[in-house]
Amino acid sequence: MRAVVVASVFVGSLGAQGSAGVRVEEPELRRVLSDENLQAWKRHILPEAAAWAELPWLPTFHDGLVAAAEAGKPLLLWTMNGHPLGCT
Amino acid sequence: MRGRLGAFVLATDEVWRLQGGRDVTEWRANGGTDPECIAFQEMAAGGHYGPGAGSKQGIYVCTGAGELLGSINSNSPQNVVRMLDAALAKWGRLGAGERRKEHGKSAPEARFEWAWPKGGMALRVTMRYLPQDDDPGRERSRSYNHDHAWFSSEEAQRFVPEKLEVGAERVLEDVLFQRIARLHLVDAVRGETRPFDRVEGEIRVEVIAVDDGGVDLKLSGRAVGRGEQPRRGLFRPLGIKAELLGRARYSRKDERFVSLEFVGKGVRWAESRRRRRWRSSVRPIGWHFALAPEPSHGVRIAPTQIRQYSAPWLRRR
Repeated sequence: MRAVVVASVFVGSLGAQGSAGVRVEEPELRRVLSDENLQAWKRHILPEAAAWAELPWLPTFHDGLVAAAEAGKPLLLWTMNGHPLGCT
Repeated sequence: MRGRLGAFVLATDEVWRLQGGRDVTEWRANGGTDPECIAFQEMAAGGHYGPGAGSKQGIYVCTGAGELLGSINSNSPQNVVRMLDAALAKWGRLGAGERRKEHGKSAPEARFEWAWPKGGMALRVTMRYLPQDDDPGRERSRSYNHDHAWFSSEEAQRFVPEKLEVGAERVLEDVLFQRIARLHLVDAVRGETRPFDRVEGEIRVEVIAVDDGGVDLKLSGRAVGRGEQPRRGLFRPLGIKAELLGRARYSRKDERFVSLEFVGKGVRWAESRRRRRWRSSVRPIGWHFALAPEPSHGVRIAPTQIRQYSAPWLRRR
């Protein structure tokens, strides 16, 4: 699940260089985006299908409570800083 | 795991609002009354982080009446499955009446999702770190994140050049450029971050083809954001530089975009904390923006920085 991925990444090592107190110099931007490579970069950025994203998530806690009572099922609520269906 | 999930109704939500911010006691003292938040706070008080201040992130299982059956915040699938099985065992001991019992007091007073400008344009944003050598054929970085960007239908029209003839061009007005650049050209790959105060740059929209149905447009631009934000948490963004390129198709008959997508490719520099020390880092980063599909559940998830939107249609009800 994305929560697991996010949590493990967040507590894991952060890509870092240099040492404490040393300010990074502002990097130059290499301008390489073109009509020829646009689709390749699009494919690179977009994610492959993720199992969690295909599950029928209701988008709010309230919606979940109402649906759970109606269905006679327990509610599984996944809640994070930032909405998991958006930016978390 | 997937088989177990069929036993549940699944819902997901943003926790900061539900938990009442940093400290639920302060939230209530400041007049917090939203019933949906209170229902969550009462349930989560019995969960893995207990009552009081601090994050309540995680996975909770409860009845439709909000009675907690189990909770966890773990990156171990095995631990999550154990919690789910224990919660299902508790559920199995409930009577039929308890299983169907409604909460009755969880309807929200206000949600930012309600601010969606009906008929507007929603973009799905995806961001990911890129390889250092500018080769899109390289193996992809594992982490990615999403967000949404919202525009009213009137704002969407302002992406289109006034003259619909080949060569006509429009520079996206600053309020819309700043919305895209300040709030969405950020490094949130590993989690929410703060926006830049202001970003230099522009997005140009050029008509490249015209036919009976509409016009084809080219989007191009650049953005440079610099920030001197206070160190907090594990990450402090310092700057972003990006180039932008994309295409759109605008229907003259329907007066709306049939397609619109663009890629941002750039570099971010930042400070991040590791083993109690702050270190600097530079990483190539990319963004993809495209028209968002209709949500299957009928609710559009709000942009994470919607509080920062400078938009007349933004009314939090």
